[in-house]
Amino acid sequence: MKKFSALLVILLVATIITGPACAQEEDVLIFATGTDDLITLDPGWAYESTNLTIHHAAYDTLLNVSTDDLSKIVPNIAKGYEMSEDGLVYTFTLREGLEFASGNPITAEDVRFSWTRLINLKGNPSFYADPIAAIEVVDDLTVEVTLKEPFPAFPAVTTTPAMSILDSAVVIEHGGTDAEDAAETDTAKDWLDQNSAGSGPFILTGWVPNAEVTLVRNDNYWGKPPAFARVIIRDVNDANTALQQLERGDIDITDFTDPDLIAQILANPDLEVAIGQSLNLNYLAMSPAPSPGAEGSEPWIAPLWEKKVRQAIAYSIDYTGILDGLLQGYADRPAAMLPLGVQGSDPSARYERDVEKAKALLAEAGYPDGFGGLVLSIGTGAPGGVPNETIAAKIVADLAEVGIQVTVEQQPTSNFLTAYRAQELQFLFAGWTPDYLDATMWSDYFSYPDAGPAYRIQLDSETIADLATQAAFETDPDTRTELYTQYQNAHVDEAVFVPVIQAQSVYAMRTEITGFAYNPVYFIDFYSITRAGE
Amino acid sequence: MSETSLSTTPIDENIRPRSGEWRRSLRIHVRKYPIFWIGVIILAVWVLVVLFAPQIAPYDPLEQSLSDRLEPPSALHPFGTDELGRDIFSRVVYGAQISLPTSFIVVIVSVLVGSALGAVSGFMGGFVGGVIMRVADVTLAFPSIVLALAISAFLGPSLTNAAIAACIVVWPSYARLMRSQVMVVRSFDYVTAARSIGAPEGQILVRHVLPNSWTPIIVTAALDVGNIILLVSALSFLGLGVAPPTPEWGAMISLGRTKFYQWWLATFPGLAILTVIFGSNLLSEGLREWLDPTI
Amino acid sequence: MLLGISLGLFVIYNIVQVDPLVMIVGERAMNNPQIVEAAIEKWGLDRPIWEQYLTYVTNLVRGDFGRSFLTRRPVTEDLALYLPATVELAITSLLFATLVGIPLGIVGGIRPGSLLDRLAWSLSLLLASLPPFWSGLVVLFVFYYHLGVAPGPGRLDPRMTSPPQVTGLFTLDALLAGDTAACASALHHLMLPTVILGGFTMALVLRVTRASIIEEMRKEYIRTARSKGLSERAVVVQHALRNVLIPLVTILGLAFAGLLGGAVMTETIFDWPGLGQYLVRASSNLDYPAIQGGTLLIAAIYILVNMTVDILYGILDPRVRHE
Repeated sequence: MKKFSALLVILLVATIITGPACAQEEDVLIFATGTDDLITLDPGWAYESTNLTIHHAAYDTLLNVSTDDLSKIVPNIAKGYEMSEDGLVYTFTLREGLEFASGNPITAEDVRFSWTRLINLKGNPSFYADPIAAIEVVDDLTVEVTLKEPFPAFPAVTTTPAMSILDSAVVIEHGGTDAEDAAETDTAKDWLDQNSAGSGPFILTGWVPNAEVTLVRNDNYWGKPPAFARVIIRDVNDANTALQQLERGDIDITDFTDPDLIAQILANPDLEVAIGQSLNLNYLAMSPAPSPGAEGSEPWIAPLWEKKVRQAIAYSIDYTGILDGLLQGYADRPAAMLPLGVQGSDPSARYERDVEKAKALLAEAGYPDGFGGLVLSIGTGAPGGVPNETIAAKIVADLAEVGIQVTVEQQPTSNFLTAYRAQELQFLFAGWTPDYLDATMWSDYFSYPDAGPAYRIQLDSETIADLATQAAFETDPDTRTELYTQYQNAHVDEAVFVPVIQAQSVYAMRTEITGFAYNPVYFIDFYSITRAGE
Repeated sequence: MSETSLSTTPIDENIRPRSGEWRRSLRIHVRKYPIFWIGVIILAVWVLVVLFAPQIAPYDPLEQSLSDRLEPPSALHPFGTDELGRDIFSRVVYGAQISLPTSFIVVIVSVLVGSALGAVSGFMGGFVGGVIMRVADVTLAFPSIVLALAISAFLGPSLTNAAIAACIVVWPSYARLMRSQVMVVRSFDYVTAARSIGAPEGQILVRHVLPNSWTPIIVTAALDVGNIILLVSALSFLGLGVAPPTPEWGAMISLGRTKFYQWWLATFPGLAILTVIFGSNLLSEGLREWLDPTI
Repeated sequence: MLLGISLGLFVIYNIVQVDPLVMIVGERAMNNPQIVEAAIEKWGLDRPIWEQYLTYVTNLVRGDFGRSFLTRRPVTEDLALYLPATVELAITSLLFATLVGIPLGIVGGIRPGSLLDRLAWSLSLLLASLPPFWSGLVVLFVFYYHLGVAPGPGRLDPRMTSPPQVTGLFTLDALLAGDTAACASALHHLMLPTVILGGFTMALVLRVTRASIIEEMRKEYIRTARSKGLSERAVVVQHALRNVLIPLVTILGLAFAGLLGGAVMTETIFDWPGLGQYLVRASSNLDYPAIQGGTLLIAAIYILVNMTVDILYGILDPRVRHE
């Protein structure tokens, strides 16, 4: 007995130390990313980031954004659409003979159900459907959508994963409803958190929060069958562990990178890097107001209300050092809050570092020796893999060179956003991520004194607001581009929002992974990926 | 207690001058309590680093130079440079100016507040005493890092708030120690006698309680110097401590950890934390050996 | 007692006055008054503060910690999901601490001052001095990344799917599911975090064992036993060890509760989906119900373990009962 237990202990210790012999079964793709943003996987409720990738894999939208040209909208389960003369009515025609993973046919009724449910859930992503006034099923394959007012960006909006088409029969079976009071009566969320009811190439089969999301191949998919039998999305905390796991071959692909590690990844013959042009912007915001928004607030110390001071700050930042040094060139920046690649964005107008000019502007504004008392507020985050703390330290050093003394105040992002929203911040570094790819995704939020970051920073410029409105509702593409460029230049002059980083999305993967294509909305398309050399 | 161990050693008093006598007893003391002395030396070195940081550090810890970023350790930069080209050696040295004084202040405040409250609770008993001990018990029911995390999350990240969180976490152990000492001393006959002739409570405290209770308190305090450095750097590591660009060890490890090819970024601040905690552990163990030979 | 701390946290929370709305609704949907209104009503944010607290406490008594702002799920459900991972790690850490700490403590206690004693003692002290958020990085880098002898972060081989949840302890669940490979992988993945988390406790156990063995060995009955010609081993095992158990049980009980909380840093480094990581995320997002729920749960476990220890103490040491 004694010998037996001793043997057992030795065996146990041996397994603990050497680990199991892992049997290689079916082909599984492992994608490591941060899944801690996931709250729900019900497309009607989810409004985070990782869910977009999952929803794109498990559901279909009527239209898609072309992977080759992001400004082009291409057919998906809808063959196409027609817009009425007045721009109010869109008619979508579905492809014939398509089925959901369940085997149910995809019909116009499913489109109506999905979007009506989205509207009536009154969840965080419901605002995508705000422009819709009415949805009418014409026949099995035709659906007519009437808008409240002309909205040229509508086709682009339909490509966002929240507007996915759900299998109405399955959703209703699990407690879903599109009724007016769906916000209270719809109970499908719990089921949709763990399963999917879509027609995408993969089927969601499980989600363990903070650990993993599992997708399996949809054998009923209407396109060619996906290459992988299973896709596992693994939760990882940071680039450190993700890249170590990648190098050891424990995972296949990750979006966690640190710009300084990319050179090492490239030096490893087993690994390669894919670059995606992301439209995420990280910007400095400088309030043109003399004091916080709340009435009776003490005025701020630093004179950012002087336009020349704001311009001086914009001229002091060492953009090249940040982009080429800290981000190792894996980033670029536009002139204003219209990312490169978006209609009307023109980088030639952007600020470049010019210390002399900055000092001259400060002198003109009456501060030849600079000033102190400026607080730079930041949240948590790491644009392009460089932590906010590091970027803030760089900005502090850059501004010190022109005589502006800055202290950094870092807060958890939720506090930071609370303060920002309450118009309490004078000088801050924050980010903006798009949900769809129309220029209104930026101009709606950075222009009007009563909406979005423009409200929070107390920007009140008639020129900017007017140009934003004109451009948004302009239907002629060339005139629209022209208007957006004017809009951008007005922003440059005002120097309230100064974009610093438009980081590229860097994906590191094993060399045998092929067919990766980045998309700025849903990021990664598991369907297009295959493993070579099997 | 210490005097006995020193004076029992034979001293050749006729030849040696008094300073030699002192040196010799010191040598014997060192030989008898090496752990204590290793701890003292490690911490003394760090205290010197704190005092002479500007003389020791070859560079300004905030000075950036992007052209020299991520340089490996060399004669020019003994610990290498970080992602902004700052000298890591200088940052580690200046980091001591953040961590050590914070830790000392927290320990001193906690010892004063904790033992005062403990003494009050012990002497007064009743409702107030009960409430104080209840609060102390509640606080002790939480693992320190969890409570500190919650407190500094609510207060917002800053060095001051991290220190406040550390104080809140640490004071109850001193309150308990002091209270139990007071309870013991109170039951002594001579204290009861002193009370019966109307000696004020404060006088009893100073005359009888304090001399008896400082041993366990100082042993715990020595240990807490390291614990608090660990706590504060852990909070900074999680982004709930010191604001950038202040050189703080925990924050340096946090920013350096993704660059594992540039191992020097996280290694040296980690070693700094390790040595301080090790020194404080040794000091505490040594003090216990020396002052409280019953264990 | 738990009410006291919940009140304390609630007061701090309301002094700081963070608006949970933006966290609940998301940044952009804040522009839609309909969504905002629905959220305010759903989360009861329009009611006066005392009413919110009263609701909270009433629910607390019923075992309902409220809903996490961050995950939108009931905190109780979240805790049930994350606690097992932490418990599993705490158990193995405690096992490591006792299985290594007690023998080393005995060896050192029998011959204090011997080379082995000094070596074990200083090593344990060094282990206890390691900042876990740093040493975790170091061991992962050396043993996983460089040498490849240890598994990486996480609870399981990335290519394996978690076993169906019964207890939430992966090793046990995998065995129940008959999946020995997953069980072995789970054990394997426990190795590094166990050493990092258990190091401090190991040093504690070693020191307590050593000190009590030294004390016991000086006592009269040991000398009697020795003079009767009993072997050194028999003396230690039969006599000294029994009396060492009493202080050890106390220490281990407290240590277990401490390990649950201490896992915060270890879990962060090892991507361990446990209570510690949950609390870190909740703290850095000011997810107030989650912070309070998690903290209260750990405190409750601590109190429970304390009570169990007291009972055990009474069984082990009959003298206590008479007092």
